[in-house]
Amino acid sequence: MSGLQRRLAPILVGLLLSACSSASSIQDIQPGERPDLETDEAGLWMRMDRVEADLRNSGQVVEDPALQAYLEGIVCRLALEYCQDVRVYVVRTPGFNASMAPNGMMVVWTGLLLRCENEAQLAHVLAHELAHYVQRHSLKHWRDLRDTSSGMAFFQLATAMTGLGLIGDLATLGALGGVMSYSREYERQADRIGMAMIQRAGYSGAEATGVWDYLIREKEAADDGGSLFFATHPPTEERRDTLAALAQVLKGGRVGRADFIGLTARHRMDWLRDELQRRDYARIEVLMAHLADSGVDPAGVHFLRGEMYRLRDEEGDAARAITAYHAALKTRKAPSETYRSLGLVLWSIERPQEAQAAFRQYLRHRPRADDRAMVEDYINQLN
Amino acid sequence: MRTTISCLLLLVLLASCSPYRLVEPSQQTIAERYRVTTPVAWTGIAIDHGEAWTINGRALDELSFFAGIQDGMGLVSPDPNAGDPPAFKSKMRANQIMELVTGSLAYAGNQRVRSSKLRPAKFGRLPGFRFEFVFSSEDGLNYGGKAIGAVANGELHLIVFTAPISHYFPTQNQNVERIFNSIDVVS
Repeated sequence: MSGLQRRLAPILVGLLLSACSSASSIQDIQPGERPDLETDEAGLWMRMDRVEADLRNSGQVVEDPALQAYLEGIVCRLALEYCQDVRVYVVRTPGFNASMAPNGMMVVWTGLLLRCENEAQLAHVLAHELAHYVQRHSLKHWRDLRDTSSGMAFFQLATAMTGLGLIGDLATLGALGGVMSYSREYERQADRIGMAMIQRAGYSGAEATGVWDYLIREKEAADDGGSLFFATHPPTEERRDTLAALAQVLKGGRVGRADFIGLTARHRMDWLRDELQRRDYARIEVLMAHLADSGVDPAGVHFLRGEMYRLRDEEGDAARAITAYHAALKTRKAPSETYRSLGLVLWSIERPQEAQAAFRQYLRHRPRADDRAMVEDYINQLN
Repeated sequence: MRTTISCLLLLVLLASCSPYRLVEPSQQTIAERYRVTTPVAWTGIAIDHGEAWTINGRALDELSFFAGIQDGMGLVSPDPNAGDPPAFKSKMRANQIMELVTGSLAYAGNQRVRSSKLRPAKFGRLPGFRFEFVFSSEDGLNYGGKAIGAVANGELHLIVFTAPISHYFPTQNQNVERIFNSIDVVS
């Protein structure tokens, strides 16, 4: 027996012994329940408590009391008796994702809020996550992996769990999608229980398919395996159809568009700029088209759509950007930077007079711009 | 005894392989493209297309010098998991170079990168620009930054300073300004 084998032997024996507590024997978590300190579940909780403490101090959490209260209200309507066990964190991160840790930490990415059209769509995602929590799917999944998967997959997951800090580490988990993805059975359970929560809370069941339709469009456009949410929640036509069938039973119900749009409005431009900085243009293009179709903040959305084409700068993008900027200006509510960006694009395709006119408009609309001297310099260069 | 000598020799050899160098408070030439004069000593290390200087460690204060960046080149090394980094194009205007810097910071994993105060500025004798920016690291630490640059003969010269806003940015700001004001472009 080599030295390595000698060192591994006690670990393997320990794993085999602990495997006696199989996933199948795990009961739903009860309201207010905490795991026994001597269990592996307590270890998982302890790790996630550390992550939660880091997250609270990270500066990544959106500080907006009204939005926070709104989300907590949705969670409590869905979770009822579990309301006190769940803590919601809106984290300023692009991309579609929400996650529920076994200790009750719910993380909602701002990219999810951008992609939902209304409160009911958001509630569907949160209900699904809450169902994973109630059914202790994280613990079951962890034990499933430990009991049945290869040692490498187990240790990869264990390492990822230990290293789970902030967003960068969540991205690492995304790379482990194959290990992390919930089984179809768990997804079916979460869909079913989530839909029951939706029904109980009085939300529209029909909105569930809208979320999945959108996600599938984004995945097809990006052609890269999808987001972190996809990695952990494999989207299948079967699931979409199941949700559609479940939704058929739930006619009517609350959609909650006005509140949702109103509370996210003041952050939307910043969150969209975060998305742009990710330079994941295929996905952003779907998002922009989605927002444009839904009629949310047309001036801002057209402007940022123009910015996306200007930054991507592929063949034909200059013309697309100009069209988007003009659409923004047509609303008469476009941000003044629209003129500056229009000027830059026109200059790049050698339409100097129009570029100069656009720069002049920018300065007229924002006489105290902090880049006024630079734009005046552009105008002089174009003379 | 022989073991001790061998260890010492190994240490000497390792030290001589160190990528870091002492940057004396004097005039320094960056990639034969431009010179700057620093009033204080820094530790320097070679980076793609230039060098980076630091006093307290690169996470706490970093002054990056880029020289002769050509069409298609980036400011940061490609990450195999993140696609290509933003690249310089010789037709870029100051606004777009500012976006190149902020985009590169975001590509490197920083978040909420926001720029401001873009204005014309002399890069030595070259007509150039400068601007400021802020961002949060992956760990949530808030940074400030400033940059000065110019494009000459289709090549970008750029100096970028970043440091945590809470202490190191204001501490080094005056030294950085003196360096910005000392730029002398090599003919």
